[in-house]
Amino acid sequence: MLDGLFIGLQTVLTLHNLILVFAGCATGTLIGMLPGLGPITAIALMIPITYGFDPSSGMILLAGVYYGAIFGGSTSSILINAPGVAGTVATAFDGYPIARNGQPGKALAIAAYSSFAGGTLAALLLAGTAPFLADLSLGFQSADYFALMLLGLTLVSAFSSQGEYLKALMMTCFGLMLSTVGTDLSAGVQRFTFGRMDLIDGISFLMLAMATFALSEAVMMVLQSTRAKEPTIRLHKTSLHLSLPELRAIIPTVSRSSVLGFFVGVLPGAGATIASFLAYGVERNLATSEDQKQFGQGSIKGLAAPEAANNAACTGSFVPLLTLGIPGSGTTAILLGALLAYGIQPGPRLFIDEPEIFWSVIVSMYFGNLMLLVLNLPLIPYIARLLLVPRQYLIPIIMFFSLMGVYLVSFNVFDIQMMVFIAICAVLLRLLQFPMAPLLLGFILGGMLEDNLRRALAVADGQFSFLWDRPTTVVLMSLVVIAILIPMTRALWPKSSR
Amino acid sequence: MLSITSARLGGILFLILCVAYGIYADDIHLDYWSEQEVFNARSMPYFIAVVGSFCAILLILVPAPKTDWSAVLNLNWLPACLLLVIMSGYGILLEPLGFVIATILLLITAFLVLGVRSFRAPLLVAATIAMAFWLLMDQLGIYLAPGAIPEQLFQYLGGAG
Repeated sequence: MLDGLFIGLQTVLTLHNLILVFAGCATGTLIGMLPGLGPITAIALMIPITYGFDPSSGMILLAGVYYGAIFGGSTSSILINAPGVAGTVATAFDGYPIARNGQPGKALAIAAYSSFAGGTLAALLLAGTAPFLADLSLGFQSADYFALMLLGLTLVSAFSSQGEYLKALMMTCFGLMLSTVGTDLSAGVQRFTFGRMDLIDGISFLMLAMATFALSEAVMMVLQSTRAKEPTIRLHKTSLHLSLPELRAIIPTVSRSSVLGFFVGVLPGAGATIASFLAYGVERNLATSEDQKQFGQGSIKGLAAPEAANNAACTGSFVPLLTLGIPGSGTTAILLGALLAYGIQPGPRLFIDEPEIFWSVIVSMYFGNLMLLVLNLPLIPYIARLLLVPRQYLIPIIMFFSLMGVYLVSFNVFDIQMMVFIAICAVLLRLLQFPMAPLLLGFILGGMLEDNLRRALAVADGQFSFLWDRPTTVVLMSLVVIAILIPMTRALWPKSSR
Repeated sequence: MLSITSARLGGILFLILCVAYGIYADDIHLDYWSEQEVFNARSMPYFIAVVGSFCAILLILVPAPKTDWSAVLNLNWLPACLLLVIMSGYGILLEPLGFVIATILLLITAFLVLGVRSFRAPLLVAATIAMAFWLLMDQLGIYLAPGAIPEQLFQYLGGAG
């Protein structure tokens, strides 16, 4: 492990890569701060830029963007009570009241310190567990991978918010459908191309991500612009200082929430949202009755818990990505897409074949968190001015960068039309309250799922016995069945399950 | 009588999509040997169509909370639809007009649709973004074509000069 960390440090500690970490954090913060635009959009917008870099540098930049976007989302939660993403909703519960009580600097500082601690603890846990898991998964065969991918897809739906299970499952199927468009590489036949040359290579994941997140988000902002907005809190001459008793009060909260967040993040599909709400709930339950009254009114523990947990969960979500090649969330799905675009196949072999990428991502997480604390936090009063830029200017600029991000990869105007069409579908689905992340996950995993199923069947002479031949496959398939049955029962008989 | 909720409407749309997808899966061309295989290029689409249809039927049948359609209808539909038309228009005009002119047009029309009242500020912002982006791409060695119409115009003006 120490050798690996050394390799990672060597890769990250170059001027070029440190600048990329900072640039990623700053850009991520800027984008993530805009209400509605979360880490998925931020990463999607930045991927075209990374095509010119080597894979390690590209991933370092994107990891920085990821952290920056989470931090930016917390900033908008605290300052305007408009969480950029679901993962920072719990941040607003106490962050906004603290800011409204005239201490926005303190709220941002608590968020930054908690995020830093959460991210750092989780990076250490990741460095400790990832090689072990990667070693363990080296023995995986196609059948296990098939079961694992199925588990990833079902868990994403299972962890969706209450009442949304069937919708999430439906969106996963939709993502799988889109993944079958193009040429089937094993047989060399075209599927669902409708005779169009533009579709022979299939739908690009970048286009899908941009259309379903960045473009549709821009359109949703316009659609919902009549809604009343909370006033923006100004940050002139605010203090970012925390007193020693305040720091002492949040240290146990941050430690507990970080560990909890990391392990929740490791579960495919659980992610930052569940981690932050869970940590908030745990801390409220553990608090004294006096402290409990503060929750929702501006409790520093109520702010520190979700912030530490969501950052730790983000790091935790890299465990299945780096060790198994399975994305556990929409954001890691898009990072997986980026790795595939660089020609890198994530999975247990990544640890052996490309150790500099594996370790540089882990080390860059730590440096990303450090950058956010040391450089971004003092810059927040200036960065937050972006919130004052009129939406009439911001939305078209987001649209332009989304369109260009896709066009510059293919130089094909058909992609622009396709993007608009997908964005229309995405907006309609959002209005019908269908979640978008399972679509992306289904799309990314679809090809791999089919490939592993084909290989497993070939190995088993066309028999489906591969599903119960190996203990690992049996365990994973049992988990798949549980992940389908429990939420399905709740969805079909909602009252009886209470 | 089942009331139309967002889940039910989505379920109906997805059921149509899954059925159409399953039917189109039949059109995937397979040679004789592939047809004999347990798993071929049609297998996964069939599987997805069946699972998707099952989920869609459940979405239609399972009781769901009522949807407030008036909130959906009261959204800012006109500017949102216009923005989508503008983006589509950008795709059509990008090659004939070239990057700079098409981008300036895209941004100005979008600014105006979203309620910017003056013309000078949008023009300045749009032109700055388009030129700055074009110069950046030029420095990175990425060629963005000036467009068929401006090229012909330059040729004509050059020839006339």
